[in-house]
Amino acid sequence: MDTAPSNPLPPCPVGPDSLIAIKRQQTNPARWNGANWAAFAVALRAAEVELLESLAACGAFATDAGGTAYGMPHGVVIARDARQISNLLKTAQEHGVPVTVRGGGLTTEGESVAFGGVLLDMTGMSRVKSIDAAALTVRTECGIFWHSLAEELRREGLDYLSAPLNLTSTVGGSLNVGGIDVNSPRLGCSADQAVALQVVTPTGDIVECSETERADLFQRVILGYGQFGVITEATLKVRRYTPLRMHYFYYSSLRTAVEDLQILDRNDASDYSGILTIMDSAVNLLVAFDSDEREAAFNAKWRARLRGHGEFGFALRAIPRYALRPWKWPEALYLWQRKRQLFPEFRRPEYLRDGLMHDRTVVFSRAVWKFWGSRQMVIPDLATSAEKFIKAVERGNAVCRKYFPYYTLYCVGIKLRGDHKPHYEMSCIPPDATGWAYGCEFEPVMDRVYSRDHLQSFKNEIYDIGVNLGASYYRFGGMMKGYIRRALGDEVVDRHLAMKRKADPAMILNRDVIF
Amino acid sequence: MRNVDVIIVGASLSAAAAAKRLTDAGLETVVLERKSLPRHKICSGILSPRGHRFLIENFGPLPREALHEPTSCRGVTFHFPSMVSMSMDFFGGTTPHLHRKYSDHWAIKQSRAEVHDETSFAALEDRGDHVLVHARKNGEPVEYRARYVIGADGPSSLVTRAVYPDYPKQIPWFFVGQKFHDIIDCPLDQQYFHFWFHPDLGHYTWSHARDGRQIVGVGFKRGDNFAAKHANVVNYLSEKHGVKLKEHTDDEGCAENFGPSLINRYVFGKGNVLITGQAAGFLNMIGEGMSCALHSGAISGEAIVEARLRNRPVQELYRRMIASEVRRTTDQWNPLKIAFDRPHEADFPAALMALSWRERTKVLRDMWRFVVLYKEFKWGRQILRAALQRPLLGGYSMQPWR
Amino acid sequence: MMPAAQRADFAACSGCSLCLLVCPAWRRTRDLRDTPHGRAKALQHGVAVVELKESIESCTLCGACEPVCPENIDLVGMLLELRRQLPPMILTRNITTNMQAERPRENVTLSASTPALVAGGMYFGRPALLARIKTLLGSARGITVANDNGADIALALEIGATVPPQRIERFLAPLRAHKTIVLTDGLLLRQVRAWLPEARVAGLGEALGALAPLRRQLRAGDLYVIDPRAYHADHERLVTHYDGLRAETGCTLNLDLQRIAIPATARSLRQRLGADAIDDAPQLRWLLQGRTIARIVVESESDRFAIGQLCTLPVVHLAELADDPSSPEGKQS
Repeated sequence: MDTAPSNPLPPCPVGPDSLIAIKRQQTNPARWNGANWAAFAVALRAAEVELLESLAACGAFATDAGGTAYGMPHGVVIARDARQISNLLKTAQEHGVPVTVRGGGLTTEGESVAFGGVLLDMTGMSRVKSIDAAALTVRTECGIFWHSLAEELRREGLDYLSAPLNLTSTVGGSLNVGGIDVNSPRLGCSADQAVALQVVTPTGDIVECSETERADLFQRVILGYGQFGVITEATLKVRRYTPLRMHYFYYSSLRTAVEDLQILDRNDASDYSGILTIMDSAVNLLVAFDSDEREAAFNAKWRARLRGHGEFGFALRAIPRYALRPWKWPEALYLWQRKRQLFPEFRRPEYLRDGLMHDRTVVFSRAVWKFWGSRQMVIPDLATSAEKFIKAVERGNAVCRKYFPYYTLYCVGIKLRGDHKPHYEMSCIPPDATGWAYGCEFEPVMDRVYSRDHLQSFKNEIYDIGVNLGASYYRFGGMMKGYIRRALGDEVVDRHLAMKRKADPAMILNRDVIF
Repeated sequence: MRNVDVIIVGASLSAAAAAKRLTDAGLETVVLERKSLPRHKICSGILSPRGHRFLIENFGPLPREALHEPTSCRGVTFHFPSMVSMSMDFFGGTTPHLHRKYSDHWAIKQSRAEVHDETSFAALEDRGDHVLVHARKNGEPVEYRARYVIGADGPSSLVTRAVYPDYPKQIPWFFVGQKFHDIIDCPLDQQYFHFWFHPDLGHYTWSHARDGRQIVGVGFKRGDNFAAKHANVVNYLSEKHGVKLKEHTDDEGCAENFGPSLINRYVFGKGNVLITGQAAGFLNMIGEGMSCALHSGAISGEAIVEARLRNRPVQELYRRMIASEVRRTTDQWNPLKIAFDRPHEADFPAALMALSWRERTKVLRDMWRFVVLYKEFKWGRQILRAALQRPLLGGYSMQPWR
Repeated sequence: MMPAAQRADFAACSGCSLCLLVCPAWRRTRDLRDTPHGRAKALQHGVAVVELKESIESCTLCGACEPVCPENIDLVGMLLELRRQLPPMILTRNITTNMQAERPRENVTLSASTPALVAGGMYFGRPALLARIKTLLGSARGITVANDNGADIALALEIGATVPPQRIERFLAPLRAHKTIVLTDGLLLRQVRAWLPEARVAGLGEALGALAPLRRQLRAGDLYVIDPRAYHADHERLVTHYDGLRAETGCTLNLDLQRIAIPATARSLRQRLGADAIDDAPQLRWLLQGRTIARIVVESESDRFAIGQLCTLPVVHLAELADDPSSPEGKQS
């Protein structure tokens, strides 16, 4: 849009009952018209900010991991330090030039795509500033990939708490949208790990904030979808590195597996838990532990209560089930093939030592890229309260079946922190969740070429479930513009929009993401 | 000679959708339009909810001037010779009644592509690594050199003819005409689009309200007399439905290609030339071509973006990507889908089940009699083949496409 | 590794950024344009090769990106091809002219039962080391050291000069007789493996590392520096080889969490050719950061030299392990 979005949304001329509850918002923005660009470029260079306008620089950022939204920036700035970003935002504010911030570019709806204006590539700011092994904290620039952070921490025998199972998501990106790991049922989302931040506000002030210092800014920036500032540095909590003791349980029913997952979470019975499926036919509940003691306690108390089976037991039960249903043989064949490809990936000898899985983030993330991500991340998701979760998973599963022959579901719990309630307002955390929120990703296997349009229809149908159930959307910032008002209501969105206008008068920073 | 990435012929909704995808991805795109914009377009203007959503997502909320009065349509009412009528509401609420003259102009402007109006396409030469497009602006010849060309110029597409000179002879053509009447008394519900399954009236017979007048339209195999056909419908409406209308004040008509969606015989172009929208043969069952035009147009743009980045032949990608839209459109005509699924954007099976047993029998009998009207086109075997392919292949065969 | 013909090209790049995580050039500049991802996207958008000159020359050719690429793109092969497409340097012209010059064919002694060793120029400068390697790798009937070590071919590949077929043939002819060929140059190794698919082609590190007497000398407290070019050219297989070495000896490897080798030096083409000043310190700092080690063991003589310049720890070539005075067994002998 050329002008800042108006407030509130005007009524639809078609009729009040047309596309009921779907807000009249353009989610695939028009290219910014480039007004004042030349003057802006001159002013920016005068402020000693390097601006790259070549096709080689701009083309690299034309789309995000979702691969459905395309947009070409007018120019790219590679982030170098807070002062430079401050100069950029001040100049952009003055000239009304939109600035879109990108970390690893792992958004799925074009949130990190610049539809014209400046693309700020945060990966240029990706150095660890200091590690405090005694206090178990790290201070790092926020364009750093979680994986690169892990590389640095591991040299000190440390590890991050929780981060998305994806090698190329960045710290800054996750703090802005959430970030879920298989230890989130115990440790919460990545955004909950930040102790303090250095933020460049949309008007170019460089400020330090935390729970005790400028707490209001801290609360807005965490899970803030990049609306209230660019996070340049963060102090994060870290922990000692441990290899994992892995257990896998297999189910033929989604419902049973989800119920068991929730039992484990409620009782703090495991250190890691999550569900990964092959369609809805082979449902794998993954359980893991940091220590032998925790593992022994689980074996003694909980293992027998889980209704899943081992690999062999599952196969034994699946054989008669499929034998009687010849029309399902192609599905059985697919399960078998998938198992043959997938399982060795989780058991590679260079990551398995004395029965313990080392560097789990690499093992999981590589498997994700190899078997799910492919070149397009089409992973609409839903985040709900514990009570609504099974319903959301089952309805989403039905949509997957309708659109794709093969798909995967990934479900995980997210521990909520009572003291972080202000962070959660208008975020991926559903407002009605207490204790835990639950997330499910719906990931089609891209075995053929699909039109973006087909994928968008699929995503819309999943997101519509969220609106219908009063849920939210987790992980990659899937809570995009077209849904935020429908899911969370006008009141909260307009309140945040008013705050946004105050913080960012020219509405330049990540303007096409949620408002 | 102007050198661009893509030339789109036509400035309709499919063109706007394609242009949007291309300009977003940074491709230099020029749209050629024969007439001066905004231009008039013959259309019922009833856009399906899916199309409405596409417009909002890609071009923003509709401006008021892009709508006729009544601004919305609640659903479709089917009328049968046995005088059973059944109304079906669209899923998701009412849907826009587009004023094509302004809606199309708005959409093409929102796409941010460069538009050259009063420029009519004349011919093209595909040179392998580029296409030469010959056109005329105000009678003067102009030339463009483009990497790709998209033909989005409607049912009587000149681009289709340029690529497949024999195409017009290979499909049956219909004439669809509508006349605008001032109303004396019209008991037909203004909120619905009315359609008659009546073999004696025509192959495609409809009526709806627009800007204080009533439209009476009829479609038939080319060659019949519009005035006579139309008069017949007006009489029928008067006698059977009590619709009293004055003599018409305006009339218009155009050629239509009904068959391709029905029998899965689309034309998608050759080499660097893509054909999309109704030019490719996309048309929904109720004659609504706009939603599939928008989606197929977008896919043609996506295919070009993808082909360029991946260095792959565009035809291969376009055909693989368009499969989903073919499924959606051809499903609407597929008797098995209609009987056992809900391929339309209004709930036909539910409306049918709401009738009494006796009425239901009448409706099915009337529908069969209506279908018999189409017997002469010998589509039966092809419809059957397509219907059987659907569950077996999970889609429709690409083989009949050209 | 798949043959290049079955591997994808730049058009397949989806822009996942996984190559950034392991790219030493990116670590230096943090500029996407200096990575395989950046080059692939630029080419997809129709940018001319010559406009990417700086990026193409910044590559260190360590090959780390190749095993992590989910699209299985022939990234090293494509980079070499891009260098060939750049306008030639004076050096390029000279080297091509030299290679085209007719030379008498060498007398070839067919000794199929011995392994062949193709050693880089550096090793000829250290005859004691070369002799040690010959003793270690020689079979009962000895070892054949190639007179023609293909150094000009390796340089030509690196700078993007075209190697005339007759020059390749002259280089390969004496090697064809051998079932086992050991090379010290990782870039040449990659090519020889493609040119002589029948032969067992190994890098010096792999060949020496297979020898029990040398393995016995490795211990906890050693940082074992794998030669990245040779390792990444055959990663899938070698990752197991080196994991075994680590498990057996307790040494630390220069591997990151993805089991990709961290090079000891990260020199651009211009630095290799001496056109730009060399600054190995940042890369070496990263290699050593947070590690408690007593000794560095290298597979490549050039790494020994580079590390020795900046580092006070003892640096030993793998072949010298048994002779190392700081090693307990070495002292005895």
